[in-house]
Amino acid sequence: MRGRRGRIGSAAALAALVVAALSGCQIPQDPDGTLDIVRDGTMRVGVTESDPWVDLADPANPGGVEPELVRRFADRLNAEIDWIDGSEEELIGALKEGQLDLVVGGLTKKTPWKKEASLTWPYLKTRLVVGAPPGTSLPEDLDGVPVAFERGSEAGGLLERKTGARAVAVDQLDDARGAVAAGEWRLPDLGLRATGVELAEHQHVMALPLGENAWLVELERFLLRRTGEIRALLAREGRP
Amino acid sequence: MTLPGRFELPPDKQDLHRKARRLEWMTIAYLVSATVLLYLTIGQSQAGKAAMIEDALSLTPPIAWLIAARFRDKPPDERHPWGFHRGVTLAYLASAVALLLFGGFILIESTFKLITAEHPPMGVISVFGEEIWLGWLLLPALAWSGIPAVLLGRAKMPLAAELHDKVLYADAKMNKADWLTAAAAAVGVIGIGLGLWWADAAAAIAISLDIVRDGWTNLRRAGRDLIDTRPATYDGSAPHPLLGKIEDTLRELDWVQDAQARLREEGHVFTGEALVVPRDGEDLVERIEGAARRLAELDWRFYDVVVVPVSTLDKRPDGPQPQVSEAGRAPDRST
Repeated sequence: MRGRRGRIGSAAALAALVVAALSGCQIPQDPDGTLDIVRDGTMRVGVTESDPWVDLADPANPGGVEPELVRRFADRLNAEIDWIDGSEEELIGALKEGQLDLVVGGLTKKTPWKKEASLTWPYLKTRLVVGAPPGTSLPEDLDGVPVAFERGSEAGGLLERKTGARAVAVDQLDDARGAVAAGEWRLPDLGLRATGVELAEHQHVMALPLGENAWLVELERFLLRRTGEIRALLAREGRP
Repeated sequence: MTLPGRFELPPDKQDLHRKARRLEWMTIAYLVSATVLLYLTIGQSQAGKAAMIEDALSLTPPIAWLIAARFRDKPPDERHPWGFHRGVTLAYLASAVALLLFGGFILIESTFKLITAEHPPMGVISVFGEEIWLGWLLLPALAWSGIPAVLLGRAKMPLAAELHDKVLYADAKMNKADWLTAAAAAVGVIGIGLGLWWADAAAAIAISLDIVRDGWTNLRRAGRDLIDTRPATYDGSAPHPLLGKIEDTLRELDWVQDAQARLREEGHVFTGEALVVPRDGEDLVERIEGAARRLAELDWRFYDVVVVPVSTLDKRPDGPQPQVSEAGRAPDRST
């Protein structure tokens, strides 16, 4: 019994290998052919507001780090971009039903949509840190130190949970005096220096239709070779 | 006559036992490496996940075996008059239940993925600055998970027979079958590469069925041990031939009119009682002790068989016994 099943299994594996070798085709392939359709065609990209990653001040011409990356990627594939804006849930739903080819909007590896979409390998890691003006010395656990954070952002909760700091909500980080909780890339701009306190790490990803692996590999190859370029973009776009 | 103390394997079996122990340690090191390698390369392949879980669960029989090997050396004490031979059954039962549960879980999950037509994503990974499609890394990882396992299984199989070791047997059998899992998973991965999204879930279903079957077989075996089923050969295919031999040996003694034995397996060894009807009461104590020694010499597995004199033997409840069986043949109870 087992021997026979085994022979069938190995024969199938061999057959698959032979098929792959003979067809000389590129591996992996897309079950729905997204890459072939997009190349020299149109890329349907879902965007949702997420400063500084996606800025929808002009929805027909989105700004921010990710739309800029998408433009450069589209150039490489000689593709037009069709921007579609919506909420994350709308966009992921459309992606799942094959109506979009890519969704960007400050998504991270921890996104709750990870079962609904293919996520790229994290193309950039950013850190939410506490910065302080040069020359100030703060206690290691920030005990009792007032630290400013952007009103309504996760930083307030993280400050209270992970440090002894007194979280102070502000509307604009630029207005804050003293220590500030901010994305690491903003510190030079704010004239601050990192204190060594890290509140969170974000691993940034983009979302694609599940299982369109040739498409996924094409985008990942594009992103993974551009870490320096992406950091420069972030430094530029991260400025309010 | 005293109750048996520390159990020791005969010298030739001790060598085999040492060899088996070395193989089991090698198996553990190997399975850990295979599991880690798969963990790093499976991405979101369902078939790869199934293969990884099977590798991880294959760790339980060698671990159970090694724990039991340690306990077996421990002599019986006041609180544990039967010694610790049985401990291995516990571990064996636990591993069988784990196989069943995990196998069932993957089976349901994979079926669901197939029905909902979920397309498995598999992208690239950056290795030393080169982006490589995960599938190209998963295939060699699967080969590592399949091929050495077969060699280990083949090496362990004859030891299991010589040592009358069912856990070792189950372990060797699982290892030998491991390449099938790896081949099925490889088919799934190549399927993903060719854009055949269903191949992955289908391969995972095949693997999970195999895991469930392993679990079910092991569970039945552990259950049989726990209710003291008649001793069987190490692979469970036939009643153990020593069963008939013990009664024949006793009947061959000139002072014995009739004899009947009841044995159970405890790890490697058999324990139980042999009832004998003596022709007369002369020198009964010495004769009984002599018979017990004789049984102990008959085979190393008769480690703790108590001989009890009785005046008559009733028929066994389940058949026309006691019977005069041919030498070396076990009573047939298939009817």
